[in-house]
Amino acid sequence: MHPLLSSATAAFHEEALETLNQIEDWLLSSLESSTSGDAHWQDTLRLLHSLKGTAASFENEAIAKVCHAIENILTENRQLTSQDRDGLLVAIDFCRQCLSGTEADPAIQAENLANCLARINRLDQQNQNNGKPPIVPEMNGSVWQIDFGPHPQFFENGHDPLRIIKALRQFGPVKVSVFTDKLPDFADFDLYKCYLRWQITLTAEVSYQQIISQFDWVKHVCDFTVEVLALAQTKRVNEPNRYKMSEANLQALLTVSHTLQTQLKQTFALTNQLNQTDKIRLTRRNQAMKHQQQLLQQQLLHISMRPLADAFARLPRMTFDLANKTDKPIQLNMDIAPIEVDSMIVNSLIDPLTHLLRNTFAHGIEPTELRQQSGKPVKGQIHIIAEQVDEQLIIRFSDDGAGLAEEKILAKAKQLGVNLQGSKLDQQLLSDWVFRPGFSTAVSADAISGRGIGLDVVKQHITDMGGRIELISSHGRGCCFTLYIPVHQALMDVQLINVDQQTLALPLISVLDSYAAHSSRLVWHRGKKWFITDDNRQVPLIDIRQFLQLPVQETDDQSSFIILLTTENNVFAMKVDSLAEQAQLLVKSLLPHYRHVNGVKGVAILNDGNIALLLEPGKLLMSLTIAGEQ
Amino acid sequence: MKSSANSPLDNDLYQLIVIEDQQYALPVHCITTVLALENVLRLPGTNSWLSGVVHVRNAIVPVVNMNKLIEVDVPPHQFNCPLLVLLHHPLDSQRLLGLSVTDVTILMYHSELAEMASSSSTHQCLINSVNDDSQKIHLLDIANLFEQLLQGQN
Repeated sequence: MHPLLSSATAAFHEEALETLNQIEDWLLSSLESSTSGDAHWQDTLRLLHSLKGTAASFENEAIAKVCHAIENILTENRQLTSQDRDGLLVAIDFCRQCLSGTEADPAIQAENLANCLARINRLDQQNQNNGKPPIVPEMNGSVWQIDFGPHPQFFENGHDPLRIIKALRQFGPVKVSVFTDKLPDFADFDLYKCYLRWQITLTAEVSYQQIISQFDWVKHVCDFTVEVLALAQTKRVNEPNRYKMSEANLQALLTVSHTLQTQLKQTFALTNQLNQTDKIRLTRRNQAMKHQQQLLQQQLLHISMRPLADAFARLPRMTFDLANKTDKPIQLNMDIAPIEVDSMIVNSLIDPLTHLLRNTFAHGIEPTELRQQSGKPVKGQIHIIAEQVDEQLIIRFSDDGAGLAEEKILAKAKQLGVNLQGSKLDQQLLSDWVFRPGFSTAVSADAISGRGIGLDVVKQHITDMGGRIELISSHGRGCCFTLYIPVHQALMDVQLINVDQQTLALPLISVLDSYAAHSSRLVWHRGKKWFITDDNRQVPLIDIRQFLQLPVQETDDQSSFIILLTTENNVFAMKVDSLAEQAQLLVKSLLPHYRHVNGVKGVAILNDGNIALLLEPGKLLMSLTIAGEQ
Repeated sequence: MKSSANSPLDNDLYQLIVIEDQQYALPVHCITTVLALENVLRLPGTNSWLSGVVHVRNAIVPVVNMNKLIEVDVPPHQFNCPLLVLLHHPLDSQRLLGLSVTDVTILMYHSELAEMASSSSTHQCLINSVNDDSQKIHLLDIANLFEQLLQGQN
């Protein structure tokens, strides 16, 4: 295959999988809340339509046909039943299989397709038998086709077909076709009867309800049908698709961008050898190219970030499937912080989360009868909370199941020849055991558990990310796995400042106030310590130059600024040469290539590609206080 | 991601670099790339051998001045190291560090270095030093160099 075609196919696969995931998410959440007129429903129809078209372009007829069949269901349905949902989820799975290419035999592929289509068509048939109307009032469209056929007695009460067409025109441009097939011969023509009918194509973003309201006064004397030809382009619920790129490609592009930056600098140095006119010309071109290179760099750096929620996207569907498979009704509750993290973290979290969920189904949540016997609600609960605290991503994965089966673990440990000296297992020992490779208390291996590789894999992945995992179990009340993962880069709002021609960044959340140093606030000292008086309180004034190991220098109060900073327990002030802009920048930790430095939270990547120290006010104050005392 | 296996030839090859007037030999399979050294950001309160950090390949990479690290006597003239040799850990290609370098010179086989008279290591980041005519070549212990970076508190 030509490399370009191969890359286009890969992009199609990736986009198609994402589309299928979005449709699946909607199906899983739509059963009780969604009707065919709402925005999510229409988004899904649009996604299906796009996927159908793209699949056909890539000669993937199976996916195109399945999408078409699903579209039929969704355009004819008012409310999806659980039977519809199950059928459509199976269809989504079929599309995924087509994309993965796991079935190589064309005959089996064709048979699978036929089965899938037959199942969807059965749903379609059932819905049609239910006699549901094709469109609901809330549906929004952008192009409508209205067939308007007045009855012969239409004029009797003074109705005018042109009034209807004019009213529709108020919504937007209309294209009107008139049908004269019922016109009688002139001899039979009755002036008081209507013989014409019209087909009107209206291009306007209006609702079905708005259109049919124009026929309110005439609906008893005409036939009319309203069909949506194109759905309204409502704002998509999800964020627009992000660029998709492998880590390797991203690194390669960043290297190209960096090389370009270097070469531009080197080119600029050569301008000194030119005459004045050429120098000016080349300088301008160089600046324009430098600007473009900076834009490229910024875009590339932002691509490396992904929403944290992406790591959890598969869990609702997995829960649905596992609940069906194990006959354990389970409610999954997720509270995922709306933050973006390094895409490597998102990718690395997918497997551990999958294993944790399977483990919870296999060992955590009890069968329904047992839950009833112990007075628990029939529906098991899984709670996932993910948030970033300082430079750590903390994920709490808890359930209200049985907790760790201590006796089984003990028995298994003995079976494996471990001498536990009859001691009772404590939490730490239990945790150590369940995370060991090959350890499983399941009697036999099934599709969900029993091979003893689940929690081992979880621990391995988290450790590989430089993180750790903790397990707390309460007998009969459930388990809580807590994952701590270091976050090495994030987007952060910062205040940029300048000290001795060096740019520094401060977390904007720590900045309380700033004012010109020559303002009326009192600056005074007690011994070697300096303070300012702010709102009748004494605020320590730290010397940032001392922290940066810069030579002592009398700053010019006429141009310098004082920044008031807050930490968890303190407020302090810092004198800086000047304030620069506030910006949202990509910040990176000094880890994993170096170690923590006191007072430094990391490095901020400036818009021009340069880097600046990102200060950590709390540690900075502590560091300077200790240095002062020493 | 662990580094891919290198051919025996690569493992046997050393790149000679010059830092001021000192020569060092680096295993070729640990060299990621050589770049112009620019925009080094000094970190306050760190050892003098750490020149600072640079932003390369979407990573914040520490830059080491080898001469200062191994405390060799260098003539008191201006520090001139326009190049950055980016190294990765022998066992983990994701871990990076940079060396500020004056020049990148020739490739040598390990056997050639082994033939030279050697003296024992004077620093944990050196395997040993060999004498090439009148000048010493320091063989770097890359793994220990990486460990050195993570050691110590400030």
